[in-house]
Amino acid sequence: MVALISLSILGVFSMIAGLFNVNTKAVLTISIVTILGVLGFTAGFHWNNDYSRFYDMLNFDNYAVAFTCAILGSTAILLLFSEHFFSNIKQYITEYYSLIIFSVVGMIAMVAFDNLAMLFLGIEIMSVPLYILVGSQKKNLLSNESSLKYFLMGAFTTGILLMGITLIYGETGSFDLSTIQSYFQENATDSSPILLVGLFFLLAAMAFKVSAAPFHFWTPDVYQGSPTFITAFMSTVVKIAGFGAFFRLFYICFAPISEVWTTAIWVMAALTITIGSITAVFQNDIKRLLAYSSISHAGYMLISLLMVKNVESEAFGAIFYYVISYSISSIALFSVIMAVQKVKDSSSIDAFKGLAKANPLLGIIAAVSIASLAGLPPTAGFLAKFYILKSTVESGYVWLALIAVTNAIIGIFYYFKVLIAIYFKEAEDQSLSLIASSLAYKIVAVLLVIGILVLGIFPDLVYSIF
Amino acid sequence: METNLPVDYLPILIQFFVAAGFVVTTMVLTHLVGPKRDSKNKLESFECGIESVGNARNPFSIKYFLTAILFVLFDVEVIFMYPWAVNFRELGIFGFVEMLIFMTFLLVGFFYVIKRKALDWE
Amino acid sequence: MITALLLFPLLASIFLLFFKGEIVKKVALAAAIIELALSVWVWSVFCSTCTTSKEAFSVDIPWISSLGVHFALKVDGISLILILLTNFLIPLIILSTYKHTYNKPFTFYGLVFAMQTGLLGVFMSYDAFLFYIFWEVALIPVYFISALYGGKRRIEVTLKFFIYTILGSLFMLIGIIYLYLQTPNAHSFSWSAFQLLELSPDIQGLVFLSFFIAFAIKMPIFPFHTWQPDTYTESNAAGTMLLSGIMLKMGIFGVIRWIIPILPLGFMKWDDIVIVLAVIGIVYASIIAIQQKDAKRLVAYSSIAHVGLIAAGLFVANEISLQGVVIQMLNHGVNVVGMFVVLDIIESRTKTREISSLGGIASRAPKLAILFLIILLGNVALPLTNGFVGEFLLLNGLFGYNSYLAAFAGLTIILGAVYMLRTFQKVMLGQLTSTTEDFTDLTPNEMAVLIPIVAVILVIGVYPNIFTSLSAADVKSLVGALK
Repeated sequence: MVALISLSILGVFSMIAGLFNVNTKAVLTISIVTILGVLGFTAGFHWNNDYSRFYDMLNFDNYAVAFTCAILGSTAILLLFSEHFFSNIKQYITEYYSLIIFSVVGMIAMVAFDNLAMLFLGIEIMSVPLYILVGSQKKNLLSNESSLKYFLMGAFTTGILLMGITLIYGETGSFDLSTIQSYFQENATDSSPILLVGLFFLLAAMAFKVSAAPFHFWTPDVYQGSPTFITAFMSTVVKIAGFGAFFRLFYICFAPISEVWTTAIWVMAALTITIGSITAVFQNDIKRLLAYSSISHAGYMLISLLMVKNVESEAFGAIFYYVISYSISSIALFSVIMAVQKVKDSSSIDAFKGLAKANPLLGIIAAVSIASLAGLPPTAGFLAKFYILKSTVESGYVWLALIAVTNAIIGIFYYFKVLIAIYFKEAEDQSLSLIASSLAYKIVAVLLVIGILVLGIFPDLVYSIF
Repeated sequence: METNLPVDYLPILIQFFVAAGFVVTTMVLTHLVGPKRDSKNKLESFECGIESVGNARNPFSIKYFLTAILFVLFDVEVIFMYPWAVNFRELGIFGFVEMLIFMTFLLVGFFYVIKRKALDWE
Repeated sequence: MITALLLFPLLASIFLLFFKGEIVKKVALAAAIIELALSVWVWSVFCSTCTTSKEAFSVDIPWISSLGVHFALKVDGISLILILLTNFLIPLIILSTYKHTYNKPFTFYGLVFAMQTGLLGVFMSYDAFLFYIFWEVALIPVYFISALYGGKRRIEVTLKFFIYTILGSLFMLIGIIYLYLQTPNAHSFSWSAFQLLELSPDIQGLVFLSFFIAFAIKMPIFPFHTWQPDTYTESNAAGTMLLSGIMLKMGIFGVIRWIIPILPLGFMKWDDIVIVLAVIGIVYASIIAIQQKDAKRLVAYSSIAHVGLIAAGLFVANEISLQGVVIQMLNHGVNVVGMFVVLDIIESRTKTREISSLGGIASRAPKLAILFLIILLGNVALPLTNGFVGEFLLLNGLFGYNSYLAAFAGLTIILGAVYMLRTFQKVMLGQLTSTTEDFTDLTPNEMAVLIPIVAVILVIGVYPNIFTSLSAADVKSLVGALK
């Protein structure tokens, strides 16, 4: 709760700061420090704390705290890399900060909700700032297009989500998660059409937010059109929040009637992984490629929802470890993309030719993060996929495991397209050697790389916290 | 006898169909049976009896939109004050403080709007 | 002790980052020789404790407790032979690269050491998870070595190689996960837990397939060999030596350690088919080798033929043939690296690998000719060379299994003699051509590479007991597992 209040005040503060031409660097520093402070407080105070429920509206249990910390940490790291994004925008810089912070407020509500009304509010508070952020390059047609697309589709999803919540209310008579859960425990064989349609609507709305097939069509266009910084924000922080909410809603609340929805998740996961990775092979734009790859990763994360029969801490550990490893690897890779875009106004894969020769540090960061995203040991991405695969085989979904493995190989193929451009191709011009990175950037990026490797070697640091 | 079966709502459903059927039938019938005499005056858009001037699809200043949306925004916020006013005594000091916080945020927004000159016409 | 042996190359590869320019080569060589000395020391301790306890040769530290993964290493006679092979070849490979200049040498040598760690890890690990990690860790550096430095088509070719091998190993991963989930509660990846599993023959057959695809691609056994000739031809000399000399032993060793003791029933279910495939591969590769014009491609195909024989012996799995497998792994590593070193020397002087455009080198470079001849004879398994010992044991074992197949596989010696001697004749003897006119003889540096190889060829040829005694006990227990 303190997190929500202090971040809201921070958001208002940075909005007002814009009026008085406060130095943007100072606002950025204050924001990062506040976010880190809130992170520390949330982890320190709410972890294993019984006094974390707020009027049955929010419940900061360990699960919510872990996801909140992941969201806040990723946001702080991303804000450190935000320099390039904001150097392109001449006005309203601090307003964009406040939009990001407001969006984060919504995400915290999303992962800590204990009432479907809070879920709805959280999703809306997160999404509305995002619609603006996606269109923040006002003069860029692609940015405008993606903003409008995202807004229209998002608005429809909101309607569907609300309809789903209403139908669930109609069936169970409550918005409260624990009431709904106990209703399902008593009526485990309930399969009334109202419930089924309600579940389906909620599934569709959540799948849209995490861009799982067949509700993924907005993702490539929006990811490509948005400014790179916002793409990074959407594919990491927003994804964490989306999965946090998805998992909390289905794994915890709807667990008693898992027979009804596991088949749907099975099919969605298989479709998502396959569509994402096969389409990614044909992309020549790195942001589009990462959009499809993020769809494919969403598929792997969906698999974790199938672990309803496993021990709870294992399932939590698996999804949380995947989210963390995906997030830090993506942030590291996006930091490289942002650095390259400082000197090149293109996001095609060809723009990355010869990067390793021109700038070995960026080359190594890209190589490690790509290896992690592709799931090669000894990086975090490998163990993330390993935990998912293990649980898939354990739950008896061997076919799904085979589909996942086949797509992991396709994944290696398209990720290596980027790696080959970076390492083995000759640069077409000299512009890449002009990239000058600040010391802060170097330190944070190297820490990320070390983080990827350390998590890959000692996964229990994250996996066993629950 | 008070039951809550869906069957009990059947009369409403029947009435709904009757109403819809009546509207559809009369509209289709008048369309088919009635005489048609189209003229320029008949097809023009109706403007309180005054002769219409120019085209309705004129571009006009974006400021109208901004003002309109801000009006709607602050107008809607006022709606929250009605239930609060009704329950003022029950909510007591707690409700009062809550409403003060709410108004503060609202006013900060208003302040921001004015400072950003969103309401200036020139 | 063995942890130090395993981690020293990793430290060396990080250490190399601090050096720039030509000095890197010297530091790299020094590190490789220290590692060799370490492994010789392990060897001597191993021999002196042969009859007593072997506890010094296993390590077991809990690593990932949530999965029950242990950092478990164990060195037995067979893995010691492969460790010795690896650590013997790496300094020679580094020395043989002295005449090349690499852009950013610390990257190149760092990758070589990273790969060495992976290889040693594969040969030592006693925990399936650890084994898988090292399996992949060995692959990534060699991909970079081959793709960063090499021929024109190297990028596509090495990507094919990489995807192909990863494909195999991911199927192995599913097999490992399956076995892991079969272990009793608080699952474990350890070798001994896997060995205690009692699975039905059908299940073992399926798990066998998942492991076998990974190992067969790595060896490679016909028909999984398609990546190999292209990759050998397109990568640079050092990459080819690492791939052919050491990397393909990972597959054979994988069968020895992870299939035979753990899935004996699955092994026996499929062994006939694999043997037939291996023998087909021998003849097929030998015939193709005869037609090759490119010397490097020729050696690549001959390597498929030799490995085919090893694979056939491996799947016959009687005591003689397994002993042959172990010794022939060592021989093949030494011989094929010797061949590639010679080819590299010739190519760097004449700028060509076309057999037809070479000739008469012996008259200009007699030392090279003599050393090349010995390596070549080792390859065609002439008595008194190491190849003879290995192939004799293998064919002998195969004969005990099926005499017709053995006769068929024996063709490899005859066909091998045909293409090898013909190559020697065309390259070394005959008329000098325009490309070989200015051929100079070996430099001291190159002598330092070739003489140890030749020495090993002759020593094993005369006195193979040094190595066969190391592995005899392990081979016995392997055969026992199949009973």
